[in-house]
Amino acid sequence: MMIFKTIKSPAVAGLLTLAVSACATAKRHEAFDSAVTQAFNELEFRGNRSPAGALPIDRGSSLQKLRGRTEILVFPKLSNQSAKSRGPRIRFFGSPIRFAVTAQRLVNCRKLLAQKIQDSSHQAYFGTEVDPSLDCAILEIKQIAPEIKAGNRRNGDLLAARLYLDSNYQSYGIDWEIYRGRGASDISRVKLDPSEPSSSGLSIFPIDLPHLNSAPQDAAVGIPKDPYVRSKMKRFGASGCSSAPRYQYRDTYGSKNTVSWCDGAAWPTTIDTPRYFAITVRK
Amino acid sequence: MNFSRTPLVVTSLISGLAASSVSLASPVGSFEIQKFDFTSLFNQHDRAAQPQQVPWAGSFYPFGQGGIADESEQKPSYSEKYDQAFYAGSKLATDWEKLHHSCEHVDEELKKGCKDWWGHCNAWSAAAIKEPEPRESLQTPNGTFSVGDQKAYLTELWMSSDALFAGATNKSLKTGDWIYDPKSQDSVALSDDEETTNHEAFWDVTPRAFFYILTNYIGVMGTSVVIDRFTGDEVWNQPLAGYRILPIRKEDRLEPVTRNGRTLYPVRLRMKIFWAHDGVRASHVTQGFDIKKTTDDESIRVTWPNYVEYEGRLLKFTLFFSAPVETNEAGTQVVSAGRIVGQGIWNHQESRSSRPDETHPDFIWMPTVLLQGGMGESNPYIRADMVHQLPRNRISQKPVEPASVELTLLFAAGTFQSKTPDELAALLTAVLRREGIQVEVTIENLKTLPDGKIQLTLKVTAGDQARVNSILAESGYQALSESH
Repeated sequence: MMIFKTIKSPAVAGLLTLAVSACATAKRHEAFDSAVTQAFNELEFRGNRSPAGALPIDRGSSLQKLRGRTEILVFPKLSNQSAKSRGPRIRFFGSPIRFAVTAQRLVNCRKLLAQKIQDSSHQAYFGTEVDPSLDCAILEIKQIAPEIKAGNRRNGDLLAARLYLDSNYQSYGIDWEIYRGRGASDISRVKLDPSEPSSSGLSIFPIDLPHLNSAPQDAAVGIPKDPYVRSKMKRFGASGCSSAPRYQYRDTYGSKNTVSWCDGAAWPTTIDTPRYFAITVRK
Repeated sequence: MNFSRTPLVVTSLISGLAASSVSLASPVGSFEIQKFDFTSLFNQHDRAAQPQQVPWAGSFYPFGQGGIADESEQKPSYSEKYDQAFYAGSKLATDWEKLHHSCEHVDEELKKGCKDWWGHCNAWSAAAIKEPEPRESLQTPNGTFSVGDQKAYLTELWMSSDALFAGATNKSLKTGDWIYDPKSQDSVALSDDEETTNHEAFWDVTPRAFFYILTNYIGVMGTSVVIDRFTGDEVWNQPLAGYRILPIRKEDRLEPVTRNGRTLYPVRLRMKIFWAHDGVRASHVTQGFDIKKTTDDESIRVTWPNYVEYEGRLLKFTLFFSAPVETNEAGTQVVSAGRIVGQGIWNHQESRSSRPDETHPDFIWMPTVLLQGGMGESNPYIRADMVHQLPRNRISQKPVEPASVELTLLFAAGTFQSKTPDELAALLTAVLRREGIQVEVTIENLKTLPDGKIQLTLKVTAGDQARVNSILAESGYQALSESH
């Protein structure tokens, strides 16, 4: 391989040069090798199938339970690391933002594909890839509180996400509604690669779902110890469960995410990413 | 991409992008669907994209010159003009700026850094993405506000934006040999987020995240993001104006690597990124940027229309694929590719860069709406309700400052663990602001008593005293006593 070629120092360069070159080559080789190993590990992980009975659907979860409105409490993880000064660096949870997940469509996939839905991307997303015997859903995820007045919207703000997924919680596409200023918005439609999990990107929309191939690693619901988070959870009636499968994975953007999914829950109980912690409010 | 089963009519395949981008005509209008795979992301926009609203060039209002109270560009300064218009000449905004956004009150050991690089670049970056550029003077009942005035006020507002990050960092650690040695003492120590080591923090943003964030946010969504272009211990925020991916050459397709019967296909990629510059005068009106005028060579010079407005950098990295990456002869279009596997590796990670501080972004972030009062860095007298009303010509009422009372809270020793006074002041400010209490806690508000107890004395809006106490208690800081 080209990049593994040993750097050959000319004899005239002397022993010192040779030693330095050899050292640099070794480091270079080591760094590349480490990246290759990490990639192979990921390849191996993605090739895994979840053990039988480990998927949320095997443990009583069902998209059908998302009929009506599901509320999610999202605590943004804030930091002042972008500040251009040597002031103290702090990280803390922001005040909770409430999101609602609403099923705009939730029917058998074959039926959904036959429907004409105004301005919807469902046929292009599900296309030939979805198993028509499954149920398919179009979920709208929107911030409901605090309410942002129209005048406070700014260019590039995300107004809503529409997630297209089947009853195995496999995601097929996301519509992002983006504010463009002066009261106008447009929709960015992204068809997901089947190998990629649904990801919130750089946002705090609680749509990070583990890939189906992710096997749960243990059975602990991770709730931050931060007293502020706990008191707000209590106030809003959000709680975890005594134990739940926990999925840990790196998303498309390299973020390390942890998702806990209590048995029978229609949506992940908690989602923990570098940008937010989310907990679903039980009804 | 086959849409034959859909009742929608495929009207056209965008030229040359058969696999990436399809225009569909539906009964309600047309729309475009982007695919989220390497082939599509590489090919979209002919490999060169810019956000719908390209960020404008501006000033970072250096603290070394007094922030927006700087008088070297104009007299009266931006903040003084604001004071004259809205505070009847009492220097509320100016005094605050001189106290907090200058280097006068900074400790001696930090003064040089303050004068060299501290400033409003995070705020300007956010404003340049989120706010339309002020391009002409405004006549209002409160006076005339120049382009420079308006940019200064918009920038100051965004000092309090909340930001969502990709990439960990440790700005207190200078770049050294440790970045190439993952086992050194500095490398294995934890970074600012206390979850990532310094070594991991230095080498993220990873090439894969970098590629996906740029092609997805700028390319697909048409939205800019901010990068910290200084990989090392300083912070240089810049809003991105665009990117160009250079063609894949034959030599960029490296030899496949096989282990245990599985094969990975490494490919070297080269991407130019361009950002708006914060070194122009505040009154400068941006002439513009066009990513289509950049070229496929490795030069990053921006020569049009005004070279001081935008600048760029070339980044090289290797990504690993699950199947070969096939391109056209010129390497300008990807025909097929496997999926990206792993995080990839920067070229300067393999072979030492002579200037590692000026390589990959240390972190990438997106400014968000001014929701929670941020981190307490903005000038509280420059108010969003007033600044955003300026173009609407509606401000005539001067704001009324509510009455305030002094509140003293006493905390047991150890309540705040081992935080330094600076850290504690910043944390308490943030904790109170997230619940809407607009205060600025400084180290002057904090006093350690001889018995180790901590006394916090604050001026708060009359009526907020009980709330302050309960917010602090809710955050785990229960006061022993309260007096006002």
